[in-house]
Amino acid sequence: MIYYLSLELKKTKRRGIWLVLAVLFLVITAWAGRNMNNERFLEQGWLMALFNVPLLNAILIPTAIAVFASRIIDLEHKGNTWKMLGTLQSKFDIYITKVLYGMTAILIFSLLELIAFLVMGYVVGFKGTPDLWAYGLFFVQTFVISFNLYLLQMIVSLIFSNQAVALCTGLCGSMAGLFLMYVPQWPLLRNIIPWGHYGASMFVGMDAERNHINGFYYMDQDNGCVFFIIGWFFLLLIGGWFIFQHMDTDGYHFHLKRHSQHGNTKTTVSTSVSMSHKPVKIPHLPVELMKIKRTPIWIAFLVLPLISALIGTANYLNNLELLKSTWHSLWTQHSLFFCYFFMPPLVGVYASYLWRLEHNGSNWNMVLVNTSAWRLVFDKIAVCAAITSLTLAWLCLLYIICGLYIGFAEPIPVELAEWLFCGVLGGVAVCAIQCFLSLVIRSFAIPIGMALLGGFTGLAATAGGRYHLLPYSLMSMGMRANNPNLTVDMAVFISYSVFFIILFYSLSVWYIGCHDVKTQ
Amino acid sequence: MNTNIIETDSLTKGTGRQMRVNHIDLRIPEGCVYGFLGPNGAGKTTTLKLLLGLLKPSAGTITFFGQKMTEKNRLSILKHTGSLIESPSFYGHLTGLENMQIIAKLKKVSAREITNVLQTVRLYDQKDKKVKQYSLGMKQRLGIAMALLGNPRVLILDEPTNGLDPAGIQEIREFIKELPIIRQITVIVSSHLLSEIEQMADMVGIINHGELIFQGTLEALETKGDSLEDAFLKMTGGRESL
Repeated sequence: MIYYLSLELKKTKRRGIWLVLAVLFLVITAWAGRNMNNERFLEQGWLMALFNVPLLNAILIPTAIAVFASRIIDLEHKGNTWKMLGTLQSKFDIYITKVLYGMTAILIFSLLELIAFLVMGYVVGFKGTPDLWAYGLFFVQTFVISFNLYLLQMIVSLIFSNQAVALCTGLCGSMAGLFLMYVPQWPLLRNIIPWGHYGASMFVGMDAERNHINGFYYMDQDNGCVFFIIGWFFLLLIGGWFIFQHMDTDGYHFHLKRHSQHGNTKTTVSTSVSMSHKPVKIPHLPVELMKIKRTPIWIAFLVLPLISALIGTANYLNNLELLKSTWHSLWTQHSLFFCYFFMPPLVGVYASYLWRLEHNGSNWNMVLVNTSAWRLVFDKIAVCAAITSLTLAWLCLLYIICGLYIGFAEPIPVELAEWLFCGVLGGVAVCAIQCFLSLVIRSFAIPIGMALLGGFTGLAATAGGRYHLLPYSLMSMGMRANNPNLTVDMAVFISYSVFFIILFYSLSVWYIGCHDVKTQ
Repeated sequence: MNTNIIETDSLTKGTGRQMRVNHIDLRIPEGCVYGFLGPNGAGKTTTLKLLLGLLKPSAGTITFFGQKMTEKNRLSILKHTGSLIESPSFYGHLTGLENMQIIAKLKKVSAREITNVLQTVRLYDQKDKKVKQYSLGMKQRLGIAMALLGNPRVLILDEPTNGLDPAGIQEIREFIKELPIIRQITVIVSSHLLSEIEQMADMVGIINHGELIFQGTLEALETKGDSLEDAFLKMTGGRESL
């Protein structure tokens, strides 16, 4: 087994896999470290860290794990190696090696996270000594929950060779998990999905009244979260193996066997090739739209804002005594997390998918013989921008529907149109940078991880008053995601957005122009 | 057969010890089948990619239809070419027909031509199947169909018979031979199989280690050794490279 593991390590050489976890680790520690040097932290740091870190984990780890798992599995899809591996290793060995590889990586990550927070606490000078039992429990939780997520992402990446599916699953899941942390009224929901476990397994509570934090305390874990985590673990491990065992190696990828048709394969084959006798026509659609026919992208486009809207509204209804200004406070519920943490990676998925079409096989040979670079990049950004705008518009539509459902006395805010306009403009800037990243980086998942990082940095940039320096924060600022009462200097906003769009558009054209084509 | 449709002057890719293509002067006459021959890794695909502007030459020039190819006129020249380089390009999640529609749109060709070409490569009956379910030979046919679309003046085919069954090879071979006669298309076809080139080509260029070591008619090649095969092996450094 160790032998296979070392092989796995060799396979993932130069794939930047460890970088994914290293960056994740750095971001979490940097973010936590940034907020650690105030008075309150010195007083109650050891407990406060245990309260804050699960939130960071819930935001960052799921997407990072989705990227990580996709990298490990996708290399076999891309290299067309499943059929070769199948003749050299037993299916069980292939499966368990992938499982153990991920487990090792996540174990190392969780350990490092634990050590980092202990060291940080001592360096900053937290009062008292850490409760080692509590930190031990925190470590075990992070490890097991993240490992569950790894298993889940690994299985999805295995089943669908199109990595967009896995990444979208990861994004939707972590969105739901994060939101459910803020809906304590339905503890069961958090337990049900594995992404919610970071929140569900928290054992430190905060004693706070309106902007003032009194202290932190241990609370009882009586929501049965442990059983759900263990249940998911066995379900994923055994269920995953069951699915894997029953998959056929079909050329480039695995696919699920269809037992029911086994008896009459002959007839099904002949009918499945049934040819339409309609005269051949060329549809009046842009080429790029023809290329994305039959892609599952629209699922994420529909689902992600829907999750945001449903949980946001529920959260709003549950906190009526805390939140006041009706339409505006509902907007924050809907858009805050969505715009900062989920929209950038989602745009990343769109962009990666569009360029992956050309990165596949020797498609570059055909594309560059028939289209000019400026036209190609323009089309890609345009399609990406169109999907992005639709996503944002869908979010606004859901907002209006939810608002009407709640039944506010005031009319729908007219500012919404301006928010959407700015959001779309900033969104196109994000499309431009993501299209550039996905063009240069041939991996599907890495640019998406970078988008998450970008959204996170965008939050920091906005907090520092420099939202215009990053496309990611331009989008969320345009949507007024953190505060609908903010006014934006339109001249600055528009000029920076246009600047980013032109910059990354030209960079992409330049990149294609002065680099030789690379085919797989 | 008097004017050259493609000429290259000391076309070079790579530098110093990593010379992938070394000062190649191709002369490809209009209306011929030009066989581009060489052992594996000799630089055939690199040269063809250079012709299409997919790789940027380190030195040298390419002249198409009497026009020097530049970054500006590249696409307007390539409009009159069809190509299949390395393995066929396709979008696996789309059907054969949908793939053809995309190419037709890019080349601005009418729908009628799609039917035509698909029937030519005998893929019409399979057009509604997803390309990822195609066999290797069918993908290759699709690639040839894409190259043929738009009635090009020059057809560049990189090992077009890869993955085809014997009947398919025979068919493609006959088809290529007819192209200059019926459709006035100049064909450049690369292969590492001498026998294949022998049966289709009028002109031959032999490349080895990035250098063009022979260019001329098949008859001229024959005079270099006891037989064609002998001549080829002599030039490419004997049997070690095959």
